Amino acid sequence: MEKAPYRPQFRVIMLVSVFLLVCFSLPMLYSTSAPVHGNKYFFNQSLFVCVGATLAFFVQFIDYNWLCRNARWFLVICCVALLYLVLANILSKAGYADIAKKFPLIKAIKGSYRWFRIGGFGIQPAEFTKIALVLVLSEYYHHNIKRVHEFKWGFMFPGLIGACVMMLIMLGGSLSMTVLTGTVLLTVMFVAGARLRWLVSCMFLGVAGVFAVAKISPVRAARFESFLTPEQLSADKGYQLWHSLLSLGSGGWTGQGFSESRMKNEYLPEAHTDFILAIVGEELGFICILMVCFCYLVFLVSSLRVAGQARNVRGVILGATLGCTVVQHAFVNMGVICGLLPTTGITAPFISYGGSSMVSAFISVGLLLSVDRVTSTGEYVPEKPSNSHVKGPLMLPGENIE
Amino acid sequence: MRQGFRARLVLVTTLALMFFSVLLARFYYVQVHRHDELLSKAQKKYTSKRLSKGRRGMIFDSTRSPAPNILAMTRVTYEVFAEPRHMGARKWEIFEILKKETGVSDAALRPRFENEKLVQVVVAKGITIDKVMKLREMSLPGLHYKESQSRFYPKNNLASNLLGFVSHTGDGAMGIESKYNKQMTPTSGEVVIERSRRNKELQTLKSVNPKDGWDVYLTISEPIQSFMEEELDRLVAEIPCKSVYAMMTDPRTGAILAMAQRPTFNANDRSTMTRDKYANRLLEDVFEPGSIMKACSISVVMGLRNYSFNDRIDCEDGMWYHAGKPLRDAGHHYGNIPIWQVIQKSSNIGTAKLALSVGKNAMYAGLRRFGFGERSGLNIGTESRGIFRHVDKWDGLSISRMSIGQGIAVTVPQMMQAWGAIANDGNMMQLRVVDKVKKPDTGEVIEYPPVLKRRVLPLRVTQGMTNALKTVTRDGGTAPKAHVPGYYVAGKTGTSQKWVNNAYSNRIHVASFVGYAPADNPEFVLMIVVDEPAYKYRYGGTAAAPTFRRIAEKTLRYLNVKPDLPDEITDEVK
Repeated sequence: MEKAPYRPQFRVIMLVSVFLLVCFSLPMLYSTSAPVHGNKYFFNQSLFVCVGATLAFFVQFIDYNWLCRNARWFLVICCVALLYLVLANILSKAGYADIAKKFPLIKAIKGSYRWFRIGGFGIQPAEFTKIALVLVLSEYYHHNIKRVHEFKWGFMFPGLIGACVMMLIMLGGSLSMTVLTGTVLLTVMFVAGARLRWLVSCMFLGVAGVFAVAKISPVRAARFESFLTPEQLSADKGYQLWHSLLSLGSGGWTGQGFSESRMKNEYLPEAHTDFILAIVGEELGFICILMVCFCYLVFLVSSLRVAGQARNVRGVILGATLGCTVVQHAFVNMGVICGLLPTTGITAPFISYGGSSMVSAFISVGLLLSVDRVTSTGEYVPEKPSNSHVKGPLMLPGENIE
Repeated sequence: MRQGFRARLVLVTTLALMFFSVLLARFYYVQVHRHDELLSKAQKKYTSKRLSKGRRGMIFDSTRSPAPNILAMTRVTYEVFAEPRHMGARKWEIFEILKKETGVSDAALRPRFENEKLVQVVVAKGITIDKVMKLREMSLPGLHYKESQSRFYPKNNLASNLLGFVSHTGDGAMGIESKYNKQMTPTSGEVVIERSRRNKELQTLKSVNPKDGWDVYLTISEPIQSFMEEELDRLVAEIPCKSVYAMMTDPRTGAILAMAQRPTFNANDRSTMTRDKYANRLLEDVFEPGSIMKACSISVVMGLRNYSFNDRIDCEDGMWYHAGKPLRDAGHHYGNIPIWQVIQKSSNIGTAKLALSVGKNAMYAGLRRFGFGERSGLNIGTESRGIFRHVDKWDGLSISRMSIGQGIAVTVPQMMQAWGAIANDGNMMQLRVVDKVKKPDTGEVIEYPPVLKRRVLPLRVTQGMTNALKTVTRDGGTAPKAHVPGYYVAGKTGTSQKWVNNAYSNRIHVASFVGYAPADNPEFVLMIVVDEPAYKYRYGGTAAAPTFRRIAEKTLRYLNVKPDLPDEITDEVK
């Protein structure tokens, strides 16, 4: 196998794009939340950034190979946490809300349990579960890359792992997170080289499934309806989307000016979290939205290049998927605020307020840095799979094609 | 390996670019393409316009010291709203306070407080500002106050027909309120603010202060008006009649000092308001004046012929045929008497003969100069022109009848204006009731000064006429009851039969009295008309004269007029 020269500039570009996004996020968050909430969110977010950056800094020194090998335990922990939430949810839905309320460490927000509350901060295990899933699947494909074209090994087994995790998230009541986890799963499979026809048919199935769930659940049906006609339903169901559109539309090319948003004065709910980019669009205009998109794309491309330089399958899959995950979040978030996608609670990475999303995004960056660091040391030791049913030398996709 | 992964990664990048292109196209559509539409819709959400009303102009009388009396004003009252849901544990405590402060009954308020579904309930309307201030000071949760304005007439039915009233929209519907509506209507102020969703004010975009309407100052004198109102009440209580009209003017300026009518209404009480009560009948109703017309017609003659008031005229033996019809002097046989006595005794025959001496054209022209047959130009509402046929349509009898006030119908203002000319040395002043309008904030004033309409009579005639009219209220005249002790009063009674079923009725009359005092330097002209008094009181001297005297007496005393008949004062004291 030829050894491509290592180029460090992609790491730098990636870090610069993250840096720009974070630097942009903090003043915007202050502007958005100050009139209603004061300094609180700004300070919290600064803390999250510090925690996330510190974590990313330390994560890069951990060998991702080691992490991947042990990722299953991480996934198990995440799944236990999810189960705990699922249990609370089921109890409260089944009419035992009093018992569910007594569960330690969790608190219902808007009627469902998606968050752990530790020391005043919410932690959404689903965010970390995704990362764990990526790690586990990277490890899986690392060992089964030879059989990636086979339905059973390339699609069915990893699909089953992913489906279990998705099921847990879904039972936890978060459809959007489930969908996003599904796209993460598909991304991993795609990057690993699973057959496109499985993935595409799977995607269609997923979309149909989402529609089915949206139809069955009245709350989600209403959300979907309001997504189609936000103005007519602006009094209740379409309120959030319509106000998001109003604030974006107020911005025009150049916006109303920094801190000049009107919609942040309690008109636009969740202005500081999921809908912060709507306020960005109002204050700084289309040009700024364009720049934010550009930053995300730069992050995507640079992280893909970092991944592409990796010396082993784990690295490639891990890096590429994590980069994609972050940008998928951004895409969904922006799609929601401009009315392209139905309203869901997905944050914009590095920009929206929220500890879990900020920390998990930084962990992704940390893992990418880890991949890059291992690559940059230049040592590539094709290791023997220690824990695999694959015998013999490792086969990589493409090799058997040549 | 590289090739396989690279292809897929390139594909991922391409897909991402595609997705983001779609995304940005959508952003472009929302942000740039729909910018104007969405911006204006957003502005509608966060800007709010608060209208504030100015106060409608007030109506004042002519009193200047110590201060003008308020005849009409706008009262600011409040509606109190409650939101029981937002009161929490204090709900019933607040309930008790509201009951105590607003005087709302327990039964009315309790069900509304108990109903959990109601977001906002009306507690009471028409609450005065001091009570609202008291409630506000207690800073109770869940209470709101809404300002509303209502018109209030502090003197109730005083001059109510002149003032008129306002409709439920706050615009004038009758009288001065209607005629000066434009001036009195306030311009409303407007504050445009940007607000948060919870109505917190963020910034002010535009602020226009409301401007109060102009205040209207009438020539009416509230004390005199109240003497008149009092006396009319007494009159209708004593003498059964259909209606009564009274008006007092200052002959020197044409200013109306008081005007009143019965029946009347109270604009503060809608139940008293019916069309026949709130119409300004002084201006709308016409009546045949009867003998009070003689002062005018004889003046016309005296102005044209070089007669003296001492010249004698044969009043026959109580009956005189003219144009084939008899003219009577109500059973009196005056014989040959001087002209001043024709006036004193109110001889129909003497007056008719004098009128005939100038001819019908001269008489018509003379009476037109007095203002009969045309509107007085008071311009405060619907006014009648009276009925005064053109001379071409007169028959042979007309001149003898018109001159004694038959076959001609006049309004009270027409007669006041004509008598004003006699009292004011022949100068007929334009009647007026609005003295000035004033802008309360700037003090800007538009005045309506006295205007001389025309000169009607020479001084010679008015002086002689005044002397003759003085005798009417003395012994031997028709109206000794109109005599005010201490003052010379010039006046004339009128008793006219009403035209009922194509004939002059012997039962139904209009009794009237016009006069001015003090006779030689008159402060006022006052006219009382009693429509259809009971038969017993059919003469002007019995129905109208006593009321004239009482109002005149109070007015002269109020105006501090020096008595010009000192002997009598001492007589009375003795």
